[in-house]
Amino acid sequence: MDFEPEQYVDAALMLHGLPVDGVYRSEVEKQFRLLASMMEIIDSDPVLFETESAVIFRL
Amino acid sequence: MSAFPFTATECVSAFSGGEVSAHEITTAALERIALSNPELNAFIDVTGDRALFEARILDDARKQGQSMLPFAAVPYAVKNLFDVKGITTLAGAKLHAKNPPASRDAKLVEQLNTAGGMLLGTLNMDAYAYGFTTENTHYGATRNPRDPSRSAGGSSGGTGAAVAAGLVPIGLGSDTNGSIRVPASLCGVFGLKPTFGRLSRTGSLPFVASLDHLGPLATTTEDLALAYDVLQGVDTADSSCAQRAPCPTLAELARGTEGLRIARLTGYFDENAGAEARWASQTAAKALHAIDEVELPGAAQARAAAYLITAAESGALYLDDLREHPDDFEPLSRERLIAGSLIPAAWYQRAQRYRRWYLNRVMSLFERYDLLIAPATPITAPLLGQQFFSLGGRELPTRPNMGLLTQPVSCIGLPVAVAPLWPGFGLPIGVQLIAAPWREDLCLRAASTLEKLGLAGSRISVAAQ
Repeated sequence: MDFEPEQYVDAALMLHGLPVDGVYRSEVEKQFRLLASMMEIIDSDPVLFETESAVIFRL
Repeated sequence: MSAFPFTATECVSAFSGGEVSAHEITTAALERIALSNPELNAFIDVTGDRALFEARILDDARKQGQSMLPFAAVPYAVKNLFDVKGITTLAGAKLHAKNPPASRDAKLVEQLNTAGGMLLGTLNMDAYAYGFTTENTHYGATRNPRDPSRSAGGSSGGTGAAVAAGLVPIGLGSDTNGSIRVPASLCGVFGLKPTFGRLSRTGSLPFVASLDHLGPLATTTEDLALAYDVLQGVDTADSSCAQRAPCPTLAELARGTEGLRIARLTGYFDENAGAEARWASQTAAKALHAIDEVELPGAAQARAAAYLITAAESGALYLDDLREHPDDFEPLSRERLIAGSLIPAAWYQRAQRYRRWYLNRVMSLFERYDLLIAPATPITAPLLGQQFFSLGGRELPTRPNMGLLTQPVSCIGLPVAVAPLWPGFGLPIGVQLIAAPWREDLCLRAASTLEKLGLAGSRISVAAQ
């Protein structure tokens, strides 16, 4: 099943106890779609999948 | 002394030489702030009484023949996410206005004061440090001293404006995705974003813990190096602060760039640069004898990773407050924070993995080059309220995209100095001088070379006292 931002945002807002109605809703979805597009950009580099996980960033 | 001292090095020299008192320096700075701040809105709090008290201690110490401090009688100010004893740390946000005043100074404020600095106040910023324009609904927009109809950049816009207007010679800012470099570029001053972990963050309000950096802005490279040298030091109270001995840079400036291998970044960094930004990058490259041009594969993905990590960490940081009182939030950021709080953990983890892989790729470039050059901002200062800007036929939203060229660099914590260049029609634009981790000295040497060549400079005219 394809990832559907609209349904995800509705469900996640409710589960997090965040404001669901009113002025926030459409702008939150717009911002979330932008974040999803950023994820697509990251995934466009196939080399990622050869990388070990390293969540804590330190130099 | 031919003129009243303004730069930090002039203040140290004139005060140490007995030509001027710390009280006179402080009074002059307070007068400049009183004259210009009503229009600029750079300062949120002016700590005049504190600065005059600090000046009196310095003047008394000099009378008693005590040895001179390295930062003696230098007026400075800090972005209002640094703790200042007795003042509520706002981070530009009404949300924090009801918090109690800070009980002590941030570590970096302590260091500047221990070295003889005099704190003049706290400076405006984008709420939470989430933005690049310092358009703040609750505390007002900061205006750019080069053209008050334009943005000073952000999120350290108050710092950029205060330094560019000649109100203080040194200001401290923070840089998560470009928040020191963007205001330095748009206001036309020098800025330094040190290596991730180089400077202590104790006593500063976090925004994105895995990306936050603190650093100085200044009107000259000498001042920038002086401030940076004072700010260095191990802080065991800050687990993110590297356990590294200070590496003084001021004396290194005289070495110039002779022998350094320098390249100009193209590809992503040209594609996302307007005409003035490309001119600045090419002009700096020519002056620094950077013959090679190289691409940085993965820069677009790195920027996307920085964007996602920022949204996820800041959304998580403010989640409880978003639930309980969403109406107290900055309207320009509230929905971005909410959206960030919804990011699946898998996305965040993949963004962090990309970051590590990209760092390794960039480090291999530093085997061939000591320094890389790129523009700091896609365009010169946009108008306040300008919703979009044009770039290569694209219309991009202004607030999130002024960091297009800074995010791929700070995403992996590299040190960067920004040097302001002047395309010729009045507004400045900065170049990023990027080095391998812990080599701030190389960034500053390159900035100093551009300054000595007359290409980079703050072009500040401080009114005679």
